[in-house]
Parts: sequence; structure tokens; C-alpha cells
Amino acid sequence: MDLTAAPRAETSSSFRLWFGFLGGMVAYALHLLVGFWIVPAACGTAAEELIPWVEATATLLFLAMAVAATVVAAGARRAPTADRRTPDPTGRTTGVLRAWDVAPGGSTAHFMASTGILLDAVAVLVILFAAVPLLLVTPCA
Amino acid sequence: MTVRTDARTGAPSADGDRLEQVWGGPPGLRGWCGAVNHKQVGWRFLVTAFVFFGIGGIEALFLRWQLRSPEARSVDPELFNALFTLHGTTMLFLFAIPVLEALAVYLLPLMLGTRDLPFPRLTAFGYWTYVAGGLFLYASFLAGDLPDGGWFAYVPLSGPIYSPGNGLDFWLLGVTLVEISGILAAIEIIVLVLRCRAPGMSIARMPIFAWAMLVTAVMILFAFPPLVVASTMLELDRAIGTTFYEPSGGGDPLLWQHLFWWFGHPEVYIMLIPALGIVSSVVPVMARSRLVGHSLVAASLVAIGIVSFGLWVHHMFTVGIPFLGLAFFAAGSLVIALPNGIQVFSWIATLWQGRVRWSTPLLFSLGFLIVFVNGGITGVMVAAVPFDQQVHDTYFVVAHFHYVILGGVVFPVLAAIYYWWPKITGFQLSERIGKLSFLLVLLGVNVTFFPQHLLGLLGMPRRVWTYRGDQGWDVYNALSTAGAFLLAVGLLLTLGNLLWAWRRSAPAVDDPWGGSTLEWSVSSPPPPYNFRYIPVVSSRDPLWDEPRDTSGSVGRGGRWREDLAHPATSVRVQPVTTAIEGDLEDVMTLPAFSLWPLVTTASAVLGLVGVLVSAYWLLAVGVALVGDCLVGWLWTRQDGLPEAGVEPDDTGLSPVGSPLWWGVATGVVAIASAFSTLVFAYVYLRARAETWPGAGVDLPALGLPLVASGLLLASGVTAVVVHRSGRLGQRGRLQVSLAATVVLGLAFLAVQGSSYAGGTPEIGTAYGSLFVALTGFQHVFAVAVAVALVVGLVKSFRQSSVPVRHRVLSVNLAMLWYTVVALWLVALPLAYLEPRWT
Repeated sequence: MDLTAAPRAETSSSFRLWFGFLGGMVAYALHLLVGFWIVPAACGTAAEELIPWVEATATLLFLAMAVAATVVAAGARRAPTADRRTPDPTGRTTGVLRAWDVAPGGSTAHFMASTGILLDAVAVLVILFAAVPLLLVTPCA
Repeated sequence: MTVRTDARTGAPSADGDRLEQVWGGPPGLRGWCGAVNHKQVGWRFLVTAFVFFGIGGIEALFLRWQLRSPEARSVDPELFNALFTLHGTTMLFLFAIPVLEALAVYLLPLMLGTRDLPFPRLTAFGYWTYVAGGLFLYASFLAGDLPDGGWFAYVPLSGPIYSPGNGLDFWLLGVTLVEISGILAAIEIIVLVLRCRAPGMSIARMPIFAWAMLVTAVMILFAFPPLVVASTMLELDRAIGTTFYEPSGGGDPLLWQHLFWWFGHPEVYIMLIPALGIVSSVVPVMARSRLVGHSLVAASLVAIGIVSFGLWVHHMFTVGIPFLGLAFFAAGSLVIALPNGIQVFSWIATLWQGRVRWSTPLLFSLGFLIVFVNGGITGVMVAAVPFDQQVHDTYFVVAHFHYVILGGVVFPVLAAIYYWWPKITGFQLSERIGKLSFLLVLLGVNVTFFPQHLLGLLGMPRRVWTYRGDQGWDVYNALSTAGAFLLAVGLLLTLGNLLWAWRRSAPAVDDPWGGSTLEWSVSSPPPPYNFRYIPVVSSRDPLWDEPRDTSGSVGRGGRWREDLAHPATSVRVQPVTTAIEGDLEDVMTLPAFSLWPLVTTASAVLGLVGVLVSAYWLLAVGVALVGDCLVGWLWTRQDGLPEAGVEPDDTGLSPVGSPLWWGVATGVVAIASAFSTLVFAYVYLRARAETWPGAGVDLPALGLPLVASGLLLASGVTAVVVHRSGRLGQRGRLQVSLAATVVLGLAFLAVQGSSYAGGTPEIGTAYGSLFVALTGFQHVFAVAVAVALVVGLVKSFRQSSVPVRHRVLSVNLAMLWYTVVALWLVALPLAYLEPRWT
């Protein structure tokens, strides 16, 4: 079957793009796993006193990863892509939302970068939220 | 070739009739039983789910009638316990998930511009498994032994000591079958969305409903297998005396809670996310405006999907976990409101900028907004640990989750029914009845469940059979009961509307709402093949942005479109596209008919009945029949009209990266997810045990298992040769390596079997239970894959060359055997080595 006339698009397989898209959520998942399981594992053992330090280190590490993913996604989003020149056929979406959203005919790379920023931002927020009780709660209480 | 077509529908001239015939399927009862097309199976899913919805609703009315006034005696306490168990189980397992899967199975291929799901036999198998699960659950009525442990079946209540009858066994086996059905649907949906979209439909142009279903399917892959394993473990505790959850044997009831809620909390979002996709489909069309923040909405769905896995302990705030541990789940529970909020604001902004048409689908979508946001607010309240500890297990929680589930599932599903019913059936529903139904449902939901918040705050515990008259609960309960009947009337009006449409309504036009997605470009109801000309899209809203040709099809294409529209052979064919960009890559052929899904399900049910009545010979018969079906499934495949006699092998598909490869890889993820549950159970019970493997427990001998491991590793090497020779089409090497893999695999199983003859750890201990589970899981999987390898080997002798399909099969068999080896490399250290280190 002749498939040569089929449309072909640019590929979007770079590690950078995928890191920007999912890096924050991977950081969140790792932070949850390490942060949650260290508590029952260490409570009641000689390692109990180390819990706040391990938690703080994990938080900083995974927070840095999520922030890095956000920065990478933002960089990828700023990169020029074809879709930014694609006009909105309805011409109705305007202002901030128009500036944020990928145009309806938009490129995959730009889409992944835009969605990645939100995913990474949610990850940063949830890692920060989860770290707050570290300042207030006795680890094994 | 000159092609004459009808100007509006693209209906074929004489040569085009072949497409109609190929996709039509055989007639009669046999044809009905063997139907595999997505529209036939999707429709059955939909009808069956609504039947269960009706049953669950009737159970709810009985519950509310019992609670209408203090000290009522309409239902006895035992039946009340059974009714709330069946109501919860039916609504969550037999209605909420299946109805959304039904919509996905029916609509997604149409929305994505393709002809069918990638594995039609698996679709049908999923449906029959679902039906079997439902029948299993309700067969408890016939046995007079109803499950009464609640929809989350907490142990020890649901264990062998406190629930000695068969009621919980019906529940466990039924739920397990339904979960397996969900996993099969998830595999279908993932491969469909990633590999079978219309050419040009990159992920940036995918409809939000497709995004929602993709996220949901991936979630199912990680959430459902753990429940399948956890419920099998509970069944083993009940049936053969293992002690996964029994403290006297070193087990832990909290393990069930961890495993159940690892499934159970994502389950809430597994129900919600497709519903969000429905609302994001309805709102822009009814607002006649693009969805504001399409990318943000897609990202929100992904964020909800991932964060929802970090919330399972949210249901366990009162079990004694240290506060610092709880903080992680409280944080996730609070933050997940943000991506949900993004979607709500997106819909509001879309309505704000559009010209709104106040149709029934939109009203139900707005009803969702109101009810679900209220449920979300109380969700944020119970995310606060101190508040949750006050209202835990009270009617406040009942009110909260009914607002979430009725708001998050029932309203969007009703919106979907009113929106897509004309497309599915070809009949338009009455707007007047629809709007009246909406008003009654909205009123009914709020009158039923709002007072339950107050009842909870007043201290009324959930699941109580009755209450005294001096507790101040009677007025709110009476109101709640009245609301439930009002809600039932509202829902019955919609049912009446559907029946009225069938008998009296005028035929629906192809696109009654002015929709933007591809399903509206075909006739109502759609033709068996969906699209004569496969659409080629270059926009997110193709019907709004792109011109259509005289046949009504979207986009332009080359010769391949004509070839698919006017096939030369009687074989079902559809395009395959790349996962991210949606570039046309190839074509795939699809089965047209198969009785194996039904027969396989019947065989599995036979085996499970054996478990239920402790007739293990029947279980053995069932397992043997399932094995037989597996052989038949792999051996026979009918991709077109039987009389055509076409063996459509030369599709040009690459073995690695083909849709089958994706399907097998997705299945491997599900297997890994299930096996990880056992690993987690081992680590969890091991960490909590004071002594391990326990006093007086004999460790299994290590010699023979090490020999067996050597054989298995050798089979892994021969599997690499299977992979390479299969890929390159080297017939001789493929046959030799397949045979070697089978022989080495069987030798591994034989040596392991003889090692068990020397004794295994006592299953009445946690270690012994886990030993059986870890090794048993790997062995059962190894046997199943070995059977498939034998089929592959025998098939390779049937032809002189290695056809493309067999290359694909070989590569996938190798992947499955790698998984067998990998599972053993995890099971061996845990089952044999770790206890020796302590």
C-alpha cells in the first residue's frame, strides 16, 4: 500500500522535552515514596533521629528536580515553533489565555512544553506542601 | 479506479459494498455471540452497565426506605448489610467504570477517525468477563449467601473468621473478574489512542475525551492489578488458609487497606477523569466556542491522574500512621484541587466567550459542575487530618462521596447520553423531557445528600441499620429518603425519554449539535466501518476548521485512502499512526468474528465455581479449558469474510512497535504492576514482623531452585534468539530457538516442581503465604507463556517462510518470556534468599 502521500510531522523525542513534560511528576512520585516510607521504616529504630534530615534532603533534592523540569519546559515553550504562527481560525480566544494555549493547529513540542509547565508547577507545589509539616510535627508522633 | 459515491454519505457503488460486507459481521445467534466490533461491544457494555445501575438504584431505595424514620423494620439488619454492600459494589464496579468504558469503546474509534479498537477479540473478552463478574456477584442471591462486608471489604470482617459463608467469595471472585475486564479495556484504549488515530492527529490535536481516556487507562494499569492480587490473596486466606491478612499467622489487616486504597483512591479519579473528558466535549460545542486552555485541561488530566496515586492513605487517617507520613497525603489531597479547578475555570471561560445553547447535555454538564464542586469542597475538608478524624465513618463522608460520584459520574454520563444518543442510535431525544429530568435529578441529588452532611456532623455513623428517635436525625433522614425517590423519578424520566425516542422520535441528522470532532462527520448511527475515507486532520477541531469533500470526509490523502475505502480483499483494515505526532505509519488487519472470548470466559467461570464450592477438580478443568482456549485464540484468527480465504499477512508492519507489540508491552506493565503488589506485601509484612520467617518455619531447600534458575536464565538467552530471528524472519533459527526456550522453560518448571516435593514453607505463616504467592504467580505466568510458545512453534512449521504476522508474534512471545525470567529474578531472592540473611 502506498503510504508516501501521508502527512508527516516533526518528531518530538528529545530527552529535554520529555524531562520538561514529566520530570516534575517523577520528582513528586519519588518524593512521596521516599518521604512516606522512611517514616514507618525508621520510627522505633536507631535511625529515628535521622528522619528530619533525610526528609529535608529528599525534599530539597526532588524540589530541585521539579524546578529544573519547570525551567526546561519553559525554555522549550519559548523556542520558536511553527504553530505560533498558526492563527486561531475563530479569532475568538484572546488575551492571556490565547497567549498561553497552544493554537488549534499547534505543534506537539510546543504542546508538550506548555502542558509540562503546569505538571511541573503542580509537582513543585505538592512537594512544598508536603514539606511544611516537617517544621511542625515530631516525625514519629 | 473510478469510484462512484453518494454525494452526502460517501455510500459506495457496487465495488464499495465489499466494505459494508466485510465490516458487517455474520448474522444470527452465532454472529451475535462472536461479535467483536467496537460498536456492538460498546453498545452491550452500555446497556449492561445501565441494567446494573438500575439494580444498584433499587438497592439504594430499599436502604433509604429503611432509614426514612427511627426504628423502622422494613428490612432486617442482615439484609441491610448485604444491600449496602451490593449497592456500593454494583455502582462502583458494575456501573461507574463500565459505563465510562462503554462510552470509550463505542466513541473513541469514531472520535479518533479510525474503524475499530486494535484488539477486537480482547474487547469482546473484556465484555464477557464483565458480565461474568456481575453474574457472579448476583449469583450470591441464588445461593442465599449475600456478601455483607461493605464495598471495600475490610479484613478481618471479610476474613474467614468473621465472614465464614460464601457471600464474600462471590464478592471477591466477581470483583476480580470485573477488574480483569477493566484491565483489558485499558490495554485496548492505550493502544488505540496511541497508535490508531487519524493521520495528522498529533497529541496536541487529540480531543480532550481521548486524553481523558488515555490517562484513565494508564491509571487502570497501575490501580486494578493490585486489587486483583489483593482480592486473590484474601480469597486464598479464606479458601486454603494462607495468612496474608491474619495477624495470628504474621499477616496484617492494614495490608488490605493499603492495597485496597492504592486501587480505591485512584478509582475515584478513574471514574472522574472520563467524566471530565465528557464535559470538555459537551461544553465547547454547546457554547459554540473552542475550549479555553485546551493544553491546560489536558495537562490537568495528567496531573490528576498522577497525583491521585499519592492519596491512598487519605482513607487511612485514623489507623495510627505517624502524622508526618499522613502529611504527604494531606498535601496531595489539597493540591489535587488545583488541576480540578483549572478545568472548572476553563469551562466557565468557554461558556463566557461563547454563544450558549441551553440544551439538555449542557444542563447536565452544569449540574455536574455544581454538584461536583460541592463534593470537591467537602473533599478538601476531609483532606485536613484533624477534620477527617472527626467525621470519619459518619454520614458526612457518605454525603461527600455521593456528591463526588453522582456529580462526577452520573451527571456527566447523562450529559453524554443526551449528547451522543442521536449518534449512537440515530434518534433524537426529547429536549423537554430531558430538561425536566435534569431538574428532578439535580433537586433529588441535593435533597438526598445535602442533609447527610448535617447527619454526619450530628454524629450519625454510616452503615447503621436504624437509629433512635431522640437523636435529632429523623427529619434529615426523612428528607434524604424523599430526595432519593425524587432522584429516582428524574432518572426514570430519562429512561422514558430513551424508550420514547426509540418508538416515536424522528431520525437524527448526522451532526445535530454542530460538533467539532470526527464522530459527527459520519451518519447516525455510524456505518459498520465508521469511515469510508479515513480522515486526515490538521486541527484540533477538524469539523470546524477543515473543509470536507463531497463525500463528507475530512482532509485529503493519497492513494492509501482510496485503497482503504475500496479494499481489494475482504479483510478488515485500518491505519496505524505514530504515537506522538500521529503520522501515518502503516495499516493493520483486524479480526472480524470470534467465539473464543465467550468460550474463554465460560471456561474461567467454570474454574472459579470450582473455587467457590471447594471442588478443586473443577478448578483444574476450568484452567485446562482456559489453556485450550488460549491455544485456539492464538491459532485461529478470522480477519474478514470466511469465504474470502485470505490470510492477510503482508501488511508491512514492523514486528517491534506494531500495535500488537504495544498491546503486549502494556500487558507486561499490568503483569509487573500485579507482581509488584506481592513484592510490596512481602516488604510490608517483613518490615512489621517481629520474627522472620517466624518461629519453627522451615526454609525451603536452595539447591534445586538454583538449578532451575540456571535453566530459566538459559531460556532467557534462547528467547533473545527467538526475538532476533523472528524479527529477521529466519525460519530455521526461529524454530530451534523457540523449541529450546520451551524445553528449558518446561525443565525449569519441572525442577521447581520436584523441589516442592521436598516440602514448602507452612502456608499458615506470612512468609509461607508469600512464598506460595510469589512463586505461584511466576509459575502460572510461565505456564501460560510456555503454551503460547508451543503454539508459536507449531505455527512456524505450517508455512515455508515466516510471514509478517508470525514475526510479530515471535517478537512478542520473546518479550513475554523475558518477563517470565524477570519475575523469577525478583521472586527468587525474596522467596529463597532474603529469609536466610536474617
